[in-house]
Amino acid sequence: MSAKAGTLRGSTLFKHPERVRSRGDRHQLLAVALIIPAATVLVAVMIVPLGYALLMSLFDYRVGAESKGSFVFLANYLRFVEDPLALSSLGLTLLFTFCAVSCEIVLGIGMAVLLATLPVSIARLLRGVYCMPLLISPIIVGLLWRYMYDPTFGLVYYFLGLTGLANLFGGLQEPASALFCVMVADIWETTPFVLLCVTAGLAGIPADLYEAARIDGAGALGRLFRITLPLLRSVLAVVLVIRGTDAFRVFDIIYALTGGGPANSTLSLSIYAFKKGFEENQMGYAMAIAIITMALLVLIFGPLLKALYSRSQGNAP
Amino acid sequence: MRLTRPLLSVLVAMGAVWLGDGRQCQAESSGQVELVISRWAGPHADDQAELLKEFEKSTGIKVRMDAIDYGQLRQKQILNMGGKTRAYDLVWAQEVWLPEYVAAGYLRPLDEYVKDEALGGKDFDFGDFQPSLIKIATVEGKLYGLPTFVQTPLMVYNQEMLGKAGVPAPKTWEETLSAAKKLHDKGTGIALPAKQGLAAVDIWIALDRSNKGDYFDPAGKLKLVTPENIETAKFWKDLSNVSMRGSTNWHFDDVNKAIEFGQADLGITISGLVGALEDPKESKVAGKLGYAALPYKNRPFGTLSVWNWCVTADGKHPREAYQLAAWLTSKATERKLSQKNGQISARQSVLKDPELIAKSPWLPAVSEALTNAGTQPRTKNAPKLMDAMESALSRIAAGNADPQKELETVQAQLAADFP
Repeated sequence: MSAKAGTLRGSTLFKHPERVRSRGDRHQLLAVALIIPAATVLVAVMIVPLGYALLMSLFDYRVGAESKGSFVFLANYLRFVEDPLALSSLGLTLLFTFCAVSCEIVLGIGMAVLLATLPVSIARLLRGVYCMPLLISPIIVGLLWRYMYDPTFGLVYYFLGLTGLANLFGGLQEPASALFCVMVADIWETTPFVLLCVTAGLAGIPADLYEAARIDGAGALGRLFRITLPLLRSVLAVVLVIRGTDAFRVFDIIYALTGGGPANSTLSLSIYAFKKGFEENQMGYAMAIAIITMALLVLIFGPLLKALYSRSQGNAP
Repeated sequence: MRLTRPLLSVLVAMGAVWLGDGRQCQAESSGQVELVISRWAGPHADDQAELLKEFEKSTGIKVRMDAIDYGQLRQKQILNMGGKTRAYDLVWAQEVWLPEYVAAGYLRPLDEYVKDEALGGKDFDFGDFQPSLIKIATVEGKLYGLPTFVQTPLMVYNQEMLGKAGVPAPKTWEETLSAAKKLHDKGTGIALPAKQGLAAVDIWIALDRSNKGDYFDPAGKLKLVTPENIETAKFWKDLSNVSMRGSTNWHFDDVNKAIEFGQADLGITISGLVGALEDPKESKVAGKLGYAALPYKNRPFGTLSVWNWCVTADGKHPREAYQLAAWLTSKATERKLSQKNGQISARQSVLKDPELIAKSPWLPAVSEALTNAGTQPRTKNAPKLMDAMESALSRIAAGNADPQKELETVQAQLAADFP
């Protein structure tokens, strides 16, 4: 030990400690210099617009006439709490997010597990086919389903007509069923995303676990609930965060399908903010709605993200 | 060597930025004026783009059309003119947008340019514009747009099918309701653009004005809960009850499609779209249709919407932009566009053209609707009123809500905005 220490003490490092410090400082400076461009971009495209939105949500103003706006402090936020339409759109957004994301996750897991049991070539082909909706822009998906749901020339009503159910289904034209129709279109478009993520997660589960479970006499459901789902927990948490935040901010698919109607039955928070900002020229209020949306997203999905982060830190080697 | 790569990257990035504005740069650097115009996309824009080649050829001025979806047009124009990006020289603006644009200082008054006859060209006769439309384009005594492309909702019916069904061509509220009920009993009904949106409000206010109702009382105060307005809202509900399935999520273009394919025998659409109904290549019912002004209670009434070519305040070439606006609204260009797509011109001479009337059977109905036409309110808070009415009419049509209660709700909701 002392010999080792003696060797170290005799090395150049110990002879010239100031050189070490200056090299370390240089490395640190280089690191800072390398981070600056990324940090600048981050500040410019994320922090500045967010700060601007936060600031402007305290004003009552119109687009293009920002300088003529009046400072109203928190009035736009208080207005949100007292606005029945805003609260109703919040309720609808929560309902849409919960129902659509739940269905997508259940269907995505089911499809991925079923495909995993098929021969590889067939599974690959079907996976490709199922993932096609992912390649279509949401606004096009909205337009496509709008025509599918049309009672006069739509496919949905054609098939319902064959079974004699056409008159029982309100479709997009009735407030009671419009949100359900929007959810179906959204589920059709985004379930493939869950399918892809879960498929990737399944590839990471060791096959011998299933082998052992089979030998122990576990059935398909037992293997799903005791092996697959617990080991997919992290993947599902990521999927939940990505899809949940996406669904909560839903805009384009609803805009193309119903525009928020009929009778405001599909009015999401994002559509409401858009209408207030660009149709009614109340940009300050629209900004406040956007900030509230973001705050709610942080409140709902923040703990999940935190748990994910702690878990990944805990598992770090 | 170490510096070569970053330098190259910077140069490539600069090149990309420069190329992004490439066409403009090319035109400007060669001393050629390039105008950028903003309007909505569609067949009408395609026809106009075709005609613009003639302007480019005769003047040497290049024109680039930024045609986008109607839903995003106002938003994009505001973002550009508000941000003073100098992106547009000429914008196509609806009459309801003009007061807001003028108040925000986005537009340049045209009065001085109009006086310069050489700039307008020999085919530009200012006195030929419909005076009422010039009045609409005038804000605080100054002219801010040259009007063109007038639109008004119209009633369309398939004469052959109505004849077979024993339904006479309707004109009044009662006749329309009776015809729609008969068709509804047979499995269809009236094709109504009752989607939550401005189309429904445009129709409702025309129906209401034909019933001597309006949003405001003679003193200019918002007064929605009147016997006339309630009666009109009830009629809207009755008409919705005998409308075709799907109507509560239909806009004008959906109604047009239902008529075009022969699925609807009676419907309400807008004059700007009826040209397609008479095109034998597109429509199954071309030549079989009849047209009327919107159903009326006391006298026909229309809701008028007119598009205006406006020179932007921050545009790079205002004189040339006006020159283009004058050419686009000249008698010859208007006649050509009317012949091509049935556009309703803002020029008196074009509307009276016998050749055009023979080709466009809906023109008499348009004239009837325009005799007593009005625009939607154009005050600062009008968008709030429109939005509240859109919701209320959708609740009445789709949600089976009580018409009187809905009007009371809107009145209460807007009390602070319309004191």
